Amino acid sequence: MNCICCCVFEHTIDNIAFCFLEFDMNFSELFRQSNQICKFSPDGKFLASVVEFRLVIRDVDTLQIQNLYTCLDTIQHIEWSADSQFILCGLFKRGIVQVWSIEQPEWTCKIDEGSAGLCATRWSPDGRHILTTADFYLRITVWSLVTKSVSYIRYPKRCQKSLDYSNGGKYMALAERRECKDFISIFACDSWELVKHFETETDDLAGIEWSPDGRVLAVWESPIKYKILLYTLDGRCVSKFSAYDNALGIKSLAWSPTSQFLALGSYDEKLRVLNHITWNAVATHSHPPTVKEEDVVVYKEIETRAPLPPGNDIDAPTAALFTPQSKYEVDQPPIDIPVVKPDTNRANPKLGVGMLAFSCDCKYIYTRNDNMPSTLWIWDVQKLRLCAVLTQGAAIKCVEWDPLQPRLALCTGTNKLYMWSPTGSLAVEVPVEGVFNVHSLKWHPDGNTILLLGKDQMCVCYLSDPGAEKS
Amino acid sequence: MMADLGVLKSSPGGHEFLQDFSTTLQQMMGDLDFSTCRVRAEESGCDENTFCTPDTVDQCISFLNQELLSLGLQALSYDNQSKMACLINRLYQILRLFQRHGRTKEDLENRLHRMNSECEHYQHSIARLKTEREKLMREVCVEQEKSRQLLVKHKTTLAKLKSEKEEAKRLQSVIKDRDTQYRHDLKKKERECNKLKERIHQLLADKTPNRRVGLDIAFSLQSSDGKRSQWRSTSNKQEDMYQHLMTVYEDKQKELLVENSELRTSLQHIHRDISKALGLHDHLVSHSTMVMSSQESESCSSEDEFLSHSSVTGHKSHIPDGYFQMPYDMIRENLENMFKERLKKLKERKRRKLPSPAKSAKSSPPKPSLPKPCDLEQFKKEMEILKKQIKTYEEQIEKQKREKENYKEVIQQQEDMIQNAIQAHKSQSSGEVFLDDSKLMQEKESLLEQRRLFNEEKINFTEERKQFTEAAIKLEKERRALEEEKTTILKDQFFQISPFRSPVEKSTPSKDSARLLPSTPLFSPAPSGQPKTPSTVELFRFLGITPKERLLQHRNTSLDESSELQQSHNSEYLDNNNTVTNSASAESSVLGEEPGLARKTLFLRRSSTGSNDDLGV
Repeated sequence: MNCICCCVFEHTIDNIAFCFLEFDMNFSELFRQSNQICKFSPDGKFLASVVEFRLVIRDVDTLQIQNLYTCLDTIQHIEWSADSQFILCGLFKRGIVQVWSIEQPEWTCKIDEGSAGLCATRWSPDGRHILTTADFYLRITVWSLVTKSVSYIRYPKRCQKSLDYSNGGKYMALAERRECKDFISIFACDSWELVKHFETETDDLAGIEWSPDGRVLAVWESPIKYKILLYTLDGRCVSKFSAYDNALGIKSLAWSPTSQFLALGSYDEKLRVLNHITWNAVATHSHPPTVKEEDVVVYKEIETRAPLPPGNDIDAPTAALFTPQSKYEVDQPPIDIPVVKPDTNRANPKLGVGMLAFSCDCKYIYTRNDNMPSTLWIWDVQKLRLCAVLTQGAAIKCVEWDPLQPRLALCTGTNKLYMWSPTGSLAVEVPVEGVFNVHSLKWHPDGNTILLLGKDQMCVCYLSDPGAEKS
Repeated sequence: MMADLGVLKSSPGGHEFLQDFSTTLQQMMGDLDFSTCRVRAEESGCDENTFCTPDTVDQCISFLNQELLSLGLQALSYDNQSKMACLINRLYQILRLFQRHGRTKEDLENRLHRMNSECEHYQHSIARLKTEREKLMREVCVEQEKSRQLLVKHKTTLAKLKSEKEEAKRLQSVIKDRDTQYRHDLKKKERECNKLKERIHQLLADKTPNRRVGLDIAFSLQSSDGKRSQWRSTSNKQEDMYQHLMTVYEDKQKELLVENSELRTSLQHIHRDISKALGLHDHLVSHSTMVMSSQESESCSSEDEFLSHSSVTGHKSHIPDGYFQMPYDMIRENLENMFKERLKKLKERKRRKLPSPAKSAKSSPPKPSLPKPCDLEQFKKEMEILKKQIKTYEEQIEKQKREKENYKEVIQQQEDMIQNAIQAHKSQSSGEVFLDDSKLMQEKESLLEQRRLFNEEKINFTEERKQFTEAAIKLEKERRALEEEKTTILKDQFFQISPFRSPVEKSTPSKDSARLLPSTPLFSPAPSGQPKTPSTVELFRFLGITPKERLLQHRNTSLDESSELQQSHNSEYLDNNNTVTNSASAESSVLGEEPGLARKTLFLRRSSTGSNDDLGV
């Protein structure tokens, strides 16, 4: 199908090149899916999606159905194995896991937790073992698909993130709770042997996460207290950090891809960036209700009012003319940012930095302050300052960085897809028939395809570089 | 008399006088038999005011004498001859007296008025001051009250603060208590939970003795690395882990080493740059250090500290590269001192704004990466010099222009004179024309020839003008056509946006079966910062007036053409007139140099075309 140039200004200005956002955008038609369970395979060849009982595997390029597997019950969770050979489906209501092979469709595997129940399941890094978590976090069962052996790990802790594999999948760290104390067990993933077991200095551990280089394990406390601890593989505490006392603490956390920075978002509406040598804060960024810095680029989404459609029985392309268009306008600071007053009487108040992530090249961090839900903040990591602000018309639902370039895509639960890069921003309406509101999105590992998820439909957006095509 | 009385009463001196006067008057009244007088008066038919009647002349005279004596005047004589003169004299005296009294009265009245007004003024001011005083008193009272209230408030707030602090302490302790209580409860609950979990474990273990029941697999898989599984093997994983840890530490140490060495080299670079900026040479060790130390000792006594280190800092400008590779704790003090000293020097230099020494200027070529203050200064100076040069050039040009104009004027005058002379000559020698007839004929002929040529040229020019206007019209038409084309293209594109179109071209050959829908993203580029990307404002401006700008450009080009044309006009015209000019490069220059001629040409142009559209002057 024909391609339309993304940059509308290109018709008039020929000599301007938008380095990152110069591409064509083409959208597939809509496909059904349920519960927003859709995933690209790690090798980027396939797209798995769920339609109630059925698991549909599509080719990413052609979107043709490659395989179709039918499970015993509604699928609630899927995960690709690291080698993209297998895919597991968690049927938590039934307490079973079904595993399918891409290369050998006739191969079947079913894991039944039985009366223990099932609340989570995941692959081991080697793709030959499956870990299932029983109800009430009673135990974690390791099922080997090679030797059919079964082993149990007891006392796993129920928390935000209780289990993490180190990069390369050599070790697994697991948070445990025994006798009202927090422990961490380190397992060697190839033999599931316990190599280290140590107690942590936490009252109520909330999560653990390896640094991308696998040298340090970040352990953070529940929001009751601001506390983060850094442990080495052998259980030595490298450093502790606490910004303040007596208030709700860490809400979100992210490692930089280079492991040089650890970003902490907290309930005090601040982003703190720690360095990897002294583990002190190199920057503390607050999210003020007024952006005053002159050098910040503020993109404001402007919805143009569309005329009323003449009648009800009009075809889709004509109807598209009557939906409101969005575009970004560059505002000059100072800018007031819409703030939603959170209800602090309820638990988990919508307050503080709840979403943050580093870009792939470690140059930018985005954050979303939850009491400013329609604003995305983009910080320059190297210059330690605010770089750009995106104010959307609606609350931001999902933001994700391109895995290969410093650009990000976001959605706000409307029929539009938004993108930002250092050179500019764009808003695009998903040109599909009918109502399609984007609630979530996922980048393809190659960075040129975005999967857009609606409530029960999905759509694939292809970004193609026209220059590359010509050559 | 009554008015006088009033005045006298009010004046203090007059009061006494008045009293005396009244008493004497009463005495007099007593002496006088007024009743008889009145009766007589009635009898004689005179009114009350009549003092004297012919019957009572003597009595009256005696009364008057009495009065006059009391006033210190001579008495009237009863002698009939001298009576008149005497009376007149007395009358005169009394009149004088009366006048004097009138004057004093006036004077007194004035004084009284003044006094009165003064008095009033004083009363007023007293009243005013009184009110002021009252007001101030009130204010003072208010302020006192206020301060009292504030004091009270302060006291209460202090008390409140104290109580609040206590409350806060109490609450904190309460929170702590509750926290511990909750924690305790939580532990209890967790223990219960654990017990329950234990129980479930037991139950599960009882229920499913065969653990394989859970796994239903078609056939076992090969291990991902192809090896056989090492489940529960005897290999020591802990050792592996420590090995791994060691490699991690080694890597980390290497990284730190690299960073450290980089830091050291950058320190060295900074040191070298600063040294260069200060004009110190590594090679001119002894000399420069000596100079430096002497300067230091002269400059201020606070540098004694540095001098105490002179045994070490004596080599400060001569530091071998290896020095920066020494253990940092050993060289730290020296380095810090050195940098402090250099910074001080730099600051001093900046403050004094001394030009950097010549040798430093020579030794340190301007580095773009490290703009030192001296470089900047140098740059500024150069700029200044350049500006001056430009100014002088401009002045020279101006001067030359003026000279040129002068020369032209002279030439013009000479020409006029020659013409006049010729005319005069003609008129003079009209009688004897025959001698010069052939000459004149010749001249006339040549003039006619010139005129013909000129007319021809004029016709040519009008022709050209016509052609040019036609061309302009054509261009305009073409432009319009282009605009239309553009709009149609845009329209087409807009219609192509519609997703339901027959596939024209595939973006990627692999997406054969996928039905793709193209989109129309709206892009907003980031303003500034990126040199390639214009701001939206710029873009919009660009977009907004693109056609206008094109029009402008078109106009400009046409203007250029016309100016060229006109230029040729000018030159030809000027040549015809046999005037010496430099070839005019542009209209403006022509205008600037010879306003008269330019005006002429303009006039010509106007007359030739009749349109003055593109006369941008």
